[in-house]
Amino acid sequence: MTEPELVEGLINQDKRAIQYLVDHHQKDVIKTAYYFVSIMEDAEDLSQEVFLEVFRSIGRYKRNASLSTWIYRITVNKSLDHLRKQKRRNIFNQVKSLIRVSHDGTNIISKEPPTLDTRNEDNEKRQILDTAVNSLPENQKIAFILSKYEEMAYKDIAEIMNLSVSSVESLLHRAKLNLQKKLVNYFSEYAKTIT
Amino acid sequence: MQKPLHNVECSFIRRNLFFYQEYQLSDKDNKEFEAHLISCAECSRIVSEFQSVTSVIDLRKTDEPNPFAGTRLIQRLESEMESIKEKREPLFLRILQPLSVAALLVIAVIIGFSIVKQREPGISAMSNHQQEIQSIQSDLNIPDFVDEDETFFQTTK
Repeated sequence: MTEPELVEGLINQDKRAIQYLVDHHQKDVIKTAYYFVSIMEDAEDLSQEVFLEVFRSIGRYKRNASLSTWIYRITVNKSLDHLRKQKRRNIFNQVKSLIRVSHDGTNIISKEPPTLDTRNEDNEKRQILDTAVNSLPENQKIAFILSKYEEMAYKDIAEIMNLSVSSVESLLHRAKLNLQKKLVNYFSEYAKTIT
Repeated sequence: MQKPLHNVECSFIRRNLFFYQEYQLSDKDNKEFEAHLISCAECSRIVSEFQSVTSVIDLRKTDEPNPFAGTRLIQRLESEMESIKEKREPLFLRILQPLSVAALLVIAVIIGFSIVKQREPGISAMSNHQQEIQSIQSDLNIPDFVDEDETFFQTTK
């Protein structure tokens, strides 16, 4: 099925077109969402939202970018929305915890960084990296994830982000500098806690 | 703490962790970077931890989604298709229903008027007939019948 045929099929709600779309794009969508949100189940749920959005707004799809680029854009936007909501929820929960702390007099939030010497070492590493990546400015985060996790070419990232290739290069450079700074700070803090 | 022997500073190492890992340093910088690590335990530890944490990126690439995610998605999209169809039908009905009710009302009013019009000649004919009797009565000077002594009708008291 060619891309115009697929788009036409989706507009006409053709079941074969839907099946083709899911077969050819769902895995990429889930994986991209997963690299942003870090939880596979959340990424799978997000992929449903992405495809519903694709399905609902296929009539508005302008064919100046490829369909997969358009789907990537929707995926990135949905993932960032999810992270924003999660951040708001976390802030709300932290405020709730703080209120509870002031009532009980006991601190629930651990200020110590998680240690690497645990059974679940991989999970700890993931947590450290996710925290650092999630603290990056949004554009740097998108460029970093699409480049390092998705292994996309700068040209493709530029198309998804609607930026020039040089802007993407610059974003990536800054993302790496920021990330290594955050990680080095974390490792130095960690070293202080064990000495 | 052991002091680095090389002329490269620790800050150089910490600024170039990614670029060292991705082989983006020049040969000269790469050599100095590695030479510094031999002489600086702290930088060596940081590089090792950095590589350990960033190895998670490759680890994550191997994670696979649920194989049934596709089936669930197809079901969801099909139900969405159905709901779109259902949404379309009420829209159609929303226009058709009031229109048909209004049409029925108009028809009922028209039928009502036509029935009244059909009955109107009968009513006027009856009133003409009464007028005719009254004129005959007055012409013949026949007084209205009054049963004064209640010969024919007895009123109850």
